[in-house]
Amino acid sequence: MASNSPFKPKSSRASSQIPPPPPPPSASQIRPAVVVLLVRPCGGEIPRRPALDSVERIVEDFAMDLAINPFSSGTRLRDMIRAIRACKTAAEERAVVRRECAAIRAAISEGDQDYRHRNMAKLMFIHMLGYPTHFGQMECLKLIAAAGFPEKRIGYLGLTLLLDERQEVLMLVTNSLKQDLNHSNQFIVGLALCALGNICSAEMARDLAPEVERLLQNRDPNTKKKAALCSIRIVRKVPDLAENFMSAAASLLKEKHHGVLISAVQLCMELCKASYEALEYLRKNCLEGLVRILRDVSNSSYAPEYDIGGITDPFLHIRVLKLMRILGQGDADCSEYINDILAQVSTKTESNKNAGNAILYECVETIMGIEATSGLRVLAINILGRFLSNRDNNIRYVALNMLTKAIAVDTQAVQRHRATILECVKDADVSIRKRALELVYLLVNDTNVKPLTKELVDYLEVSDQDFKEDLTAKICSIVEKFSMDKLWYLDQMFRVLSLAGNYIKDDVWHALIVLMSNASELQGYSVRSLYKALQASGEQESLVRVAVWCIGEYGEMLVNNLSMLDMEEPITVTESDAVDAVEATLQRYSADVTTRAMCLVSLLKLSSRFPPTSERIKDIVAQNKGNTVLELQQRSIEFSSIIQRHQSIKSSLLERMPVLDEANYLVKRAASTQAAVSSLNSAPAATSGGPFKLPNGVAKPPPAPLADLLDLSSDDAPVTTSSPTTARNDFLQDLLGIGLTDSSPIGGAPSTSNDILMDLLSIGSSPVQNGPPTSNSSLPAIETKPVPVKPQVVDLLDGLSSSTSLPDENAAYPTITAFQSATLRITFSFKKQPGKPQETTINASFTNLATTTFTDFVFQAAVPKFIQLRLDPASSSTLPASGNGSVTQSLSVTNNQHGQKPLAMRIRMSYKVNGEDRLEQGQISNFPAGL
Amino acid sequence: MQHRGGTVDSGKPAAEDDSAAWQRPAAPPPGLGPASDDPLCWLSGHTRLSEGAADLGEIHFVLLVSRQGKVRLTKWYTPYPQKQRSKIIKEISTLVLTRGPKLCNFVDWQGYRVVYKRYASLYFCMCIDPADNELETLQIIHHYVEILDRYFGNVCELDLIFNFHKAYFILDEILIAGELQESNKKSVLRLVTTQDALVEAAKEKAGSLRNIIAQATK
Repeated sequence: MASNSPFKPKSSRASSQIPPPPPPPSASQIRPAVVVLLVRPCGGEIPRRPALDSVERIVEDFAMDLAINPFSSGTRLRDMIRAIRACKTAAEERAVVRRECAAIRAAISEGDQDYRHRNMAKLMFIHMLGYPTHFGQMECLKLIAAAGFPEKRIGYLGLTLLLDERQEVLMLVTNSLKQDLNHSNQFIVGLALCALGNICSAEMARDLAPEVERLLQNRDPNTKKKAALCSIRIVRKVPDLAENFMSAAASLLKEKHHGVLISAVQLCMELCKASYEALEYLRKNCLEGLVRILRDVSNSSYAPEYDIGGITDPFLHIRVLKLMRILGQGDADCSEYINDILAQVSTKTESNKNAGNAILYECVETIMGIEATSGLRVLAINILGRFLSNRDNNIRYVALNMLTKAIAVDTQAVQRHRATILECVKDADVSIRKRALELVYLLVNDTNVKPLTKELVDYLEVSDQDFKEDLTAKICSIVEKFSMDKLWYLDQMFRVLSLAGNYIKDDVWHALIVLMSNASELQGYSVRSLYKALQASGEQESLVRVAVWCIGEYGEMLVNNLSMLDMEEPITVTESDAVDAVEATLQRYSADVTTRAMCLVSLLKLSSRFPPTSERIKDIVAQNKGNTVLELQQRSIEFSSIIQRHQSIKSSLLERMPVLDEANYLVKRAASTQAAVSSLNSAPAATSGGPFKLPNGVAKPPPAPLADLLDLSSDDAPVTTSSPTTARNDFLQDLLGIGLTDSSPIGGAPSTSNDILMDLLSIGSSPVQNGPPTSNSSLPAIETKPVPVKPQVVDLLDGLSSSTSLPDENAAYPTITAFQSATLRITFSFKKQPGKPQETTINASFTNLATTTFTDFVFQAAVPKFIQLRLDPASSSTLPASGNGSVTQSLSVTNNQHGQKPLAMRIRMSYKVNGEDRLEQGQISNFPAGL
Repeated sequence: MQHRGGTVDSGKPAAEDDSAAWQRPAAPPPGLGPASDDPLCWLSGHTRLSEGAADLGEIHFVLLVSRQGKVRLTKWYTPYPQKQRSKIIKEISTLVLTRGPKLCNFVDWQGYRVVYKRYASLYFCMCIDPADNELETLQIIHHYVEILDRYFGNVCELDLIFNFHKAYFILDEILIAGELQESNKKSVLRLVTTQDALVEAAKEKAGSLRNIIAQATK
């Protein structure tokens, strides 16, 4: 219909209102004020003059439509938009859209042709609002297949809006596209090229590449430029096609039309990325032309249509500079060839407008990217220096961005701007702050780390909440990277903890604890500093945790002012002050479970360090016995039990934690940050240290990773996927010191009870895990029962006081009957080498229950892939009858997934009875847990 | 099951029949690649070429949102599935609309950079690669706005609402495949108006034909 609003004659409006068309805005600069976009809030306030115009316009249009087309049915696009805009609630809007969609669906199913394009326009609007419009996709294809330009125009628009390249429907349009690419009307060709350029998939690219290639030679410049851009998309989808476009792209660079030049330069860039051959070809054939283009455009006199801020066509400038960068990268000859023109552009370009700065920015990047002379580089760095002192935020932003790249080329030159960059870290704009912070991070070296860190930490105090997280992470990272001076490291960390303890990642404060544990001369200083910090800023979660841990471990250093540093002032803290501090933390409403749990451990330790406070601590712990959080309740009950009933072992149980293995922790941390927990690697490392003794005679396992000791199950990042059941088994074995090494279920959140047990033991520096079996003999105080117990958590503890004899190591695993039939019985007994938990030596014993002797007896076994099996020769191949003696054979099994998977084995026995072949087989699934 | 007495490695023979079944729990589930967070990575089977030489990316999408967060125009040059699109729009609008005045026109977003500029009540946003020229992208936005302004004559948000398709047609004459097509404003305007005229001519022809038929069948 003639009157469809999308296609309303523009003249109707232009002639009827806005008598004097507003003067065209000056194109000279980017300033919103220059281009007058009138503020007309959607809310429906009284519009000013121009809005009135548009209301009139709408009314007039409506009248005209009525006049021209009295038979118009259905709502027009404009009416629909108006109806949608009039909706006050989302529900209303949905109702309108639903009504419209229903009408459009009906029209589609009727095959209505007159309103097809209007419906498509409506659908596009509905689509933009976020409603589903898939039912209209086929309509696009019909419109595209129509003969007329108006239908095709709206059809192609619908195609690019409603579909994306992943939709099957797209395949159906290839044929129409092919026809339109060969159409005689250049505008229809243009539509097809535009659509292809925006949505083409790899298949379409292959099918239609020849057409596009041909169109690159078209006479019409508008078709040429579209074809060039379309080729970019094709090459992106199918890089193999790059070489087909090489020569055509090169010849396009000889054109005069700026649109064609811009498109051609971009096509060349894409070709260079896709194919090395194309890159070489363009280096050889185009460089001269590019230099000429750049010279012409930068020397050109005023050209009103291309002029932006006194510069002729900055877009062309920038694109040529980009292509030059690609061609000059790693090629000294090319770089030398373009040196002069780059120098010319970077000195002559005016930098008072955005357009000029954009060119300078690109020019600097190109100079940094190619093998430029040192003089040119100095020029570039100077431009950046100017940028950095610019008042315009955008310019400063790109300067920081560029300096980040330039640092690889010339660190010294960037260092010169350090003060300015540091100021940018404190900028009001978060984008600039982030850029500057990244740059500062790169600028830090041994000589400037201390002043820079001081600046950053000082700023941390006043920075925005949103920015603190980024800032803290970077400071921590810097401090850790340059932590040669431990005192300095501790000081910085304490400050960061006090200022932004809530933003610190767990691994950072874990590392801090590991370091403190290793720096025995600084422990006193640490605990005193932390105590003071805790008093001042007790709301910082990480600070609280570290402080509470330190007070628990090094409480006596706090109270007695032990190992004072020279510059330190002695402080007076009584034993009950220390307990007060921890109690206050425990009581604080905002403390989370992990913190409270750590408080409980700390209190328990203090009860042993400061015997006079023991009674009070008992009460505090007892208060939490009824805590609704299971973790805390359990700890409280266990700890109460320790305090009340196990005085004899308490002091050794609550010894200071052994020195944590720094190297091991770092390895583990690295592994966990990579989110790849490969426990098998770290496990042997943990055991390799071998057992050694502590003064109290408790065998000390190799230092276990900190995370385990602290039992951070509730918030530990590297939660492994081990199932709770296996974790339980492991734990029991670990507890019993059977010598299994496995650190995989660390932080296994599902098995809280295990962790608690672990924790209990960790308090007393007793084997947390992978305690080697030799330690058993040196553990007179702790007597445990052999394996297949399913003890309750508290029972285990109580079991400590009951006395059963220490089990023989070899009997740790009971002998099992692996197989039994009417004629044959096989028993397995197990032995483990100390320190090699994965390996088990199985002694198999075969007994003949029948009355006839078995000859040629052969025992075979098969295991899953994670297990390695070695069979030693059997003691005999003849089994005497009626159980009169047996044959033995030993098997060595290595379980590579030890701790995660139990052993499993299938067996087969073949033998001869009276010369007759017999075969028996079975599966062994009753291996004792933990092999 | 083929182990004879003597030293035999179990791995090989066991593989024949049952090890596959036994092996299954041991094999780790195929992990989701760490790249799956990248909004552009998982969209299509192809690897993005710009990843290697990341400094020459195209414009990934153009987005126009009003100050109230209403979408006025979206154009995607990198394919995103529908769901992802609305998520991105939501993210970008909140990111851009919450920024105060006088701040710079660039924000980092998921490893990409969004260049935006506010004109009256409308925010024009373009997403580019972080190594691309932000200042130039800003200039492209301005280029588009100036052309819109000339075309509509003092363009306002309502023009873009009621004539959104015109805004798309103009954009299509400026950008294809996320790359700039034409730096000459007049030439863009000429192309668009010529095509508008073509449409009008076709309408009139159809209209008059229809009238003749209507007259004839009366």
